[in-house]
Formats: sequence, structure tokens, C-alpha cells
Amino acid sequence: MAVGTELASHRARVNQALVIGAAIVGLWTVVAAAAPLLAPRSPVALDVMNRLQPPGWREPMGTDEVGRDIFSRILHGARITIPTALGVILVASVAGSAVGAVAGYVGGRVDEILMRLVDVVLAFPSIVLAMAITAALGPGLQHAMLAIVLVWWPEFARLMRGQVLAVKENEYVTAAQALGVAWPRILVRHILPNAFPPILVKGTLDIGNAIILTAALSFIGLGAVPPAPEWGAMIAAGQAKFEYWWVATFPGLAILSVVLGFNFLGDGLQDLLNPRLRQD
Amino acid sequence: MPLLQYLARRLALAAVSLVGIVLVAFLVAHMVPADPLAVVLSDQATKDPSIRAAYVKRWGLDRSLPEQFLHYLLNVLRGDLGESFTTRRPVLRDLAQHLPATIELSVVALAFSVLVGLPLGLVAAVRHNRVPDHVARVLSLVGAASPIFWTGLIALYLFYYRLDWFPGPGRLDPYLQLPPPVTGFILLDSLLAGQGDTFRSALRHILLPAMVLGWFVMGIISRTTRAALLEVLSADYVRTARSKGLAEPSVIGLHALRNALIPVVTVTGLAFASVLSGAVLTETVFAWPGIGRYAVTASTNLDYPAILGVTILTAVIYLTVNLVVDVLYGVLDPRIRVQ
Repeated sequence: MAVGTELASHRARVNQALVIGAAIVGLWTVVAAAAPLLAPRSPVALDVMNRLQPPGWREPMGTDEVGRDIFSRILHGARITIPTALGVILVASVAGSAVGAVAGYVGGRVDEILMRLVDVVLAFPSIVLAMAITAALGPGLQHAMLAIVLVWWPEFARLMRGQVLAVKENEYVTAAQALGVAWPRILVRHILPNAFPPILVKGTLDIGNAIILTAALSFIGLGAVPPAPEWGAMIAAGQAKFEYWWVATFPGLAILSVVLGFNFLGDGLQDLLNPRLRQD
Repeated sequence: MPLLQYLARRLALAAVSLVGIVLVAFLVAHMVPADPLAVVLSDQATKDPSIRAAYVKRWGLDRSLPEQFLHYLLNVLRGDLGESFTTRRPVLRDLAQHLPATIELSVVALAFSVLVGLPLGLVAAVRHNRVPDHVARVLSLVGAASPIFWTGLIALYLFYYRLDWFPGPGRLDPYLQLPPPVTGFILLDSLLAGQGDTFRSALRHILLPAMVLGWFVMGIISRTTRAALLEVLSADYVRTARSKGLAEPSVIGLHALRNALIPVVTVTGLAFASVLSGAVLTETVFAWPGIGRYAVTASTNLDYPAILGVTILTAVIYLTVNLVVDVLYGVLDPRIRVQ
């Protein structure tokens, strides 16, 4: 294949991931924003006479064990899942990047101490440490979010430190230092903007993982409390109810599609921002 | 750096990490807003003054915080992780009892992910951008985006409830007895005891959870194999092999694959960690009596000694696996020792 057409077909595929990702995420964002308008029924209204109904005309995804409409619950669930994951990743990335940037720029003892801390937190399987922290704080969505932030910031710290170490070597940084610019200003004005793209890519890719981890904590009963229409908790309600397959299936498909959307978005961003990492 | 010095340095670093791990567990225990004794004692026991006094002494709770940590660290290093509220047994004994089930499941899952992921990545690279490549890509995309507890439920629904291809949750059929425990791995113990029925039942039970658990890692392994192989396939020595008229299977099998396998081995080592994390929820769905299910039960019952015990144990397993991988690299590739 000629170089030209190869490049062109490559561009098309890059845009594909970005476009598909943006479309899925955009759709779910609209759903989250407009759930009260879109949902045919209340996500919490009980209708015990009408419990565990299979999918049909009246309830496209069936009803759960107390007769709530699963379709309406899934639409409302987006209002929990998406802001939760965005919030967790935002806080973890800002906190982690701050620690990593200081460690990378200041170096020496500060770097050594901060990075040992990062290593220690990363030595735990994230789900296990998040479970322990949530259990210690007491079950609940807010505590689960705090726990995920506490286990997640070190990944951003490690990435940002590496970025700062690389960008620090540039001549414009040396120039700023020679001009006597104070170090916090050099870090914020000259280094961080150039160290930022990989953080953005990782942040986008991690939203999907944060959604799965939050759902997992809710699934085992440590996250969102019933009757909140959280997808992980909804899947838990369908556990061991094989004859009522729809109870667990649809919330899982919701998670799968949102996570796929964010993963596509992250992959697309990665290709866009870092041409050297492009495969094939 | 000479090999012995390198080993000593890695071991010293691991010891520092171990202290850090215990420190994190200690800090988590101190997040519990209630009575500090509630972290090591059950409800009734905290009300008994004599038991309280004994525990305050044993865990050094009347001392300053750094001294308390020292106490905790020494207790943990001695293997004293407290007693589980729910089982009323030392946590260490519970862990020792549940760990083999987890390791057995993880090893079979990892084997599945390599046995399927490697050929899949190979075919995807050779049939680059054709149907097999797309199939492999979709499999790994979906595997990475599915919550494992949901995949497990769907797999049980389809392959156990609907199709009856696999048995339901658990490690064995209920009418079978556990083989005499030698290793704790039912697959091995049943063979050692010469119990063919038990072995077959255990094998049938482990396949479905292992495939669910291995799916995610299988995606990583097939993507890595594909990327590494594609890179190698454009190398000069592959062109040379082709131009001297070697058949394509020999080019790939003898020249390309061997060099492409290096990153795959690295990824497989790291993947063990993902498998261990995934095991926590897979065990819950499949009623698999390992440390993951033990941890989930413990955390929903707010059984703090048990959950902290699992937390420390899994981190130590991570640490050990990383240490072994690092040391192997240092032995295999002297350049790495310099860093």
C-alpha cells in the first residue's frame, strides 16, 4: 500500500474510535441529563402486583422484584454512574498530578518519600483496598467514592512525575529558571501545560474503570444504598434469579456500553494527541 | 551491579514495602470512626472489661500512635492478624484455608488466557486487519469493558441454567466429598488420592469461572502478542528469512514468534495481579470458597480483622510476584541490574 493511502485510512480509523466514543458518551450524557423526561415511570415507584414481569410492551426491560420499571431505573441510574465516575477521576487526577508534579520537579528527598508512598498504595489490588476503606468508613456511595480516590491518585502521580521529569529538561524551562522565575510559577505556567496530554488520555480511559469499580462496590453492598437505581446494585438484585434473567442483564449492558464509549474516546484521544504511540 | 548485590537490594526494597503495606492497613483500621477495639473485637466482646483490657495490652492501644503501629507491625509479622468476628477463628487460619481455592482458580484462569490469547493474537497479526483480527479486537474490547461480576452471572445463566453445559456454582458436585487435603488444590489432591470422579467434577466446576476470570487478561495477552508480532514481522531478519525462500509458517514460528514473545511474557507476569483482583468478584458470583469471597463476606459484615487480613495478604502476594519477576529479569538480562 502506498504511504499516502495508508495514512489516510489510518486517519479514518483514528477518527472512528473518537467519533464512536463521543457518540456513545454523548448519548448517555443526554440520557443522564434528561432522565426524568425520558423515563416512562418513576425509578422508585413500587408496583408489587406487577413484580418480575418479563420485557414486553409495557416495560421494555421488565420489572424487578418489587415491580419497579427496569428501563426507567437504568435511565435514572446514568445520573448516578456518570457524575460519580467523572467526579472520582477528576479529584484523583488533580490530587495525583499535584503530588507527581511536585515530586518530579523538586526531586531529592521529597521525590523519594512521595514515590515510596505511591508504590505502597499501588502494591494493593485496588478493589481489595477500596473494599477495606469503604468498610472502615461505613458503606455508602460517598464513602465508596472517597475510597476509589484514595486508591487511584497514585497512578496519576506516577504518570505526572514521569512527564514532569521529561519536560523539565526542555530549554524553555532552563531559560525560565535563568530568568529567576519562582519554581511554582515555572511548574504551573511552563511545565504542566506540556505535561498534560497523557494525563487527559489516562483520565478518559480510567473513567470506564472507575465506573466498573463503583458498580463492583455497589454490587457487593458497599456502595449505593437501595432503592437508588445504581447499576451495580441492580445487578446484585438479579443474582441467583436465573428465571428472571432481565433483572441483571440490562443494567450490565448499560455498564458495558458506557464503559466501551469512554474506552473508545480515550483510545481516540490517545491516537490524536500522541501520534508516536499509534499502532499498525 | 553484581547479581548478589542486586538481589540484596531488591529484597531490602521489598522489606520496606512490606512495612509500608502494614502501615496502610493500620491507617485504614484507624479510619473506623467507632471504638478502636471494634476493629479487632466483636460486639459482645467489646462490652466485657476483662477481654477489653487484654486486647488493649495485646494491641498496645494504651500507647501513642507510633507505638501502636509498632505493636501492630510486630503482631502482623508474627502472623497474628486478630480473630474474625464471623468465623471466630484466627484470621491467619481462615486465610490459609481459603487461599488454595483462589490460587487454583487464578492459575487455571491464567492458563486459559495464555492458551487462547496467544494463538488469537498470532492469528490477528498474521491476518492483520482481516476478519480474525476484528474478532480478536471485539473480544478484547468487550472483555475490558464488562464488569466481571456481570459476565459471571451471564455465563452462569447461559451455560449452566439454559444450556446445562457446565455445572453450577461451587468447587465440586454436592454429593462428592473433598479429597484428603494435601495441597488444598482439589485438582491435585483428588489425583493424589486416586479419586477420578472427584477430579472430573472439580475440573468441570473450575472451567466456567476460570474462563470468565481469564477473559479480561486474554484480551491483554492477544493485543500484546499482535502488536509485538506486527513489529517483529517488519524487521530485517524476517525479510531475510522470507527472501531466502523460507515457508511462511517457519518464518513466523521460528523467527518472528520467539522474538515477539518477550513482551508477552512480561505482560503475563503483570497479568497475575489483574487475575487476583478479578478473582474477588468472580468468587462471589460462583460461590467459590477463596479469599476473594471471604473478603467480600467480611467487608459486608464489617468484619475488620478479616478484611484487613485479606488486604495485607493480597498486597504481599503482589509484592512477591513483582519481586520474582524483577529478580528473573535481573538474572536474564544484566542490563536491568544497572538501574
